[in-house]
Amino acid sequence: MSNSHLFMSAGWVTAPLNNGIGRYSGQLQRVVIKFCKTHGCSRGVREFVESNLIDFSRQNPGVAVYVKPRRHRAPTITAEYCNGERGYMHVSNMSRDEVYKWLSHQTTQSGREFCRYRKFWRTETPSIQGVWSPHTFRDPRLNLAEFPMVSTAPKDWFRFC
Amino acid sequence: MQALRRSLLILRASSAASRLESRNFQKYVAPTYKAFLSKKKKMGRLADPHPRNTFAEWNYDAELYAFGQRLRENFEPEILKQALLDVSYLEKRKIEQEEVGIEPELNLEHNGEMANTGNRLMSLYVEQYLTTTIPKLPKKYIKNIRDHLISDDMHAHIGKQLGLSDLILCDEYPPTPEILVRAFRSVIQALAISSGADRACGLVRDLVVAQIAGQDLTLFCSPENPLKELEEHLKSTNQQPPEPRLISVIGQNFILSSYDVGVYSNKIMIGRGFGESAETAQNMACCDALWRAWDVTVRRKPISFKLELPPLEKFDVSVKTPSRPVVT
Amino acid sequence: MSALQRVTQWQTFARTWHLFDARWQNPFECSSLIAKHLQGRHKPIYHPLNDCGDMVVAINTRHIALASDEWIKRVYFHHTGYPGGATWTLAWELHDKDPTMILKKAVYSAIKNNLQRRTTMQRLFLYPDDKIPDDILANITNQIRSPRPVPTPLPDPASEEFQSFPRIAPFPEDYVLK
Repeated sequence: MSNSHLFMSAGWVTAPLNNGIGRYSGQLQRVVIKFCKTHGCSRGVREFVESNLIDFSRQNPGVAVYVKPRRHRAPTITAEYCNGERGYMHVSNMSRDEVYKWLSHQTTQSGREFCRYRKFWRTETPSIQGVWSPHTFRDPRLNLAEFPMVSTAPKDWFRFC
Repeated sequence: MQALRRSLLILRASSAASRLESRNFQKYVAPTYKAFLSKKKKMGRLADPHPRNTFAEWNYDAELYAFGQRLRENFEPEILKQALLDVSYLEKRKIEQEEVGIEPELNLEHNGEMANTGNRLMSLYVEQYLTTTIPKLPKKYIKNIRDHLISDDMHAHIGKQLGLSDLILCDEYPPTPEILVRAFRSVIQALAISSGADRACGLVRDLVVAQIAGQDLTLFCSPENPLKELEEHLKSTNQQPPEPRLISVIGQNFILSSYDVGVYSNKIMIGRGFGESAETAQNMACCDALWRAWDVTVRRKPISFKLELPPLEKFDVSVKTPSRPVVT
Repeated sequence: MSALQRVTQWQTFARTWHLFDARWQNPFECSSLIAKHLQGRHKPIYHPLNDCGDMVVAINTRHIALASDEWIKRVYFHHTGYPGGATWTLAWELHDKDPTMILKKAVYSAIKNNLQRRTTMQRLFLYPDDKIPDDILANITNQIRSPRPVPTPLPDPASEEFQSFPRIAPFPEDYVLK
């Protein structure tokens, strides 16, 4: 854990609602694309809206897409997820492909807040054969033994001296 | 609240600045966060002043279509709309109209009835699914698991994770758990009306039943008197009565003593349990024997969540194909 | 947490009581063995952050054996903190004062110096002879095998066992026995 992670909450890798065990449903529920119709920094977003947005929407019917032109403001993408979280991203001066790439990236997210992973794997059942305990492999003869027993040193005791 | 928000912003800015300037973080940060958290808890549930559906970029029809597509189901828009219409919304509207002096119109119907029907369908299907996948488990414990899966907490959680909070029409935002529960149950019923009970059952399997994946089932299958229950179980399967035996003890005069007890029937070990006293260990051993017999141990093969069950009518005659409500 | 998970945790972290017979053992040799059991390093679940050390009861510490002339050469240093407060105690003197102290100090120095050191030491019970209180004896469920064999002492020359021991060759007739 580094110092910059001190304010980050810690957690495990999880899927929302065990997503994918039954059926997979994308967690991105809507996207708001804001851009300017004239400004140069929105050029990539404008091109994306002109040529790729219909394709994107067809490929992701589960995402409601809103396009909002606004004058002389930097272009942004707001992605809203099913769990209520939202991701906000500046896309100034990005090319069409970059915008497409970032939008596709948002569709693959679960929307869970970024957290520091305590471990990269976790399970409720760490062992199938049962976890170790002091009773495991214990010699049953010890149940009837009387202590102290006569101690017998190993035959090669001199090796340890 | 405004003051709290503003101070949080300042705090965030200041802590970010301190991170840039020095390697250490300020000592006051954690106590301040804790104080904020305790105040927030004291204030209780806070309503969000800006519900999502009051934004300029909001198209309810598109949202409902996208909701169906996300679940890969085809809902009839009118029925889905009714499923997401809460009673609190109608009451609020009625009061508003009365205040203005208009005769309240009552042609809308809330989702209370749909929620009840949906819950009944879910409860039947979940029980049937569990009976099929864990066939050896007695009815009473199947019911425990089912009650867990169709509990209000579980449904509120699922409803929230599905993103229903923004879609529900109700008088407060974010919606309370009760509203979410009603909405989720009605959504299931809406699917049953739109595309038939089988599709609805498939959705219940994927959303509700799948919540027990990887969970410890023994939590729901703990008998009150394990020894007595084991005796009855062995008697019913024509086996010798159980005989608990101490396998080993560690530190018997010690506060951390550990007892290892095995349960034998006809000199064959059928269960093994541990505990801080001989009695606990014996109970756990009897439980273990029962869990092995019922096939709910952690060692069992994972439950399948891909089964296609016969239609609901086959195992419950009282369920008929749901009829379409009159939508105005 | 289900009842099963609770007892699983309980049994995994149950502390075992080990007996160690220090008779004729070199304390500096067996101290690492005792320290290993006190810290739980012999367990498959060992991790420095989990508290899984066992209890060790060491008996017969009066009968420990030091190598060569260590009884007179080994020195224990202590300083009271005041000027002129330094003392040097020989091993045999310390053993006379407290027959458990040499083994205790040996185990203490075998454990790494950290915050757990004193807590770990509290799990060690030392008895100068083989008399153990009954409640502690009832807890013991295992014995750590001593690293060295206990030598058999030579019997009394006047005893029958000594006399009847077969000889390699008889004494010559003109040999004068003292």
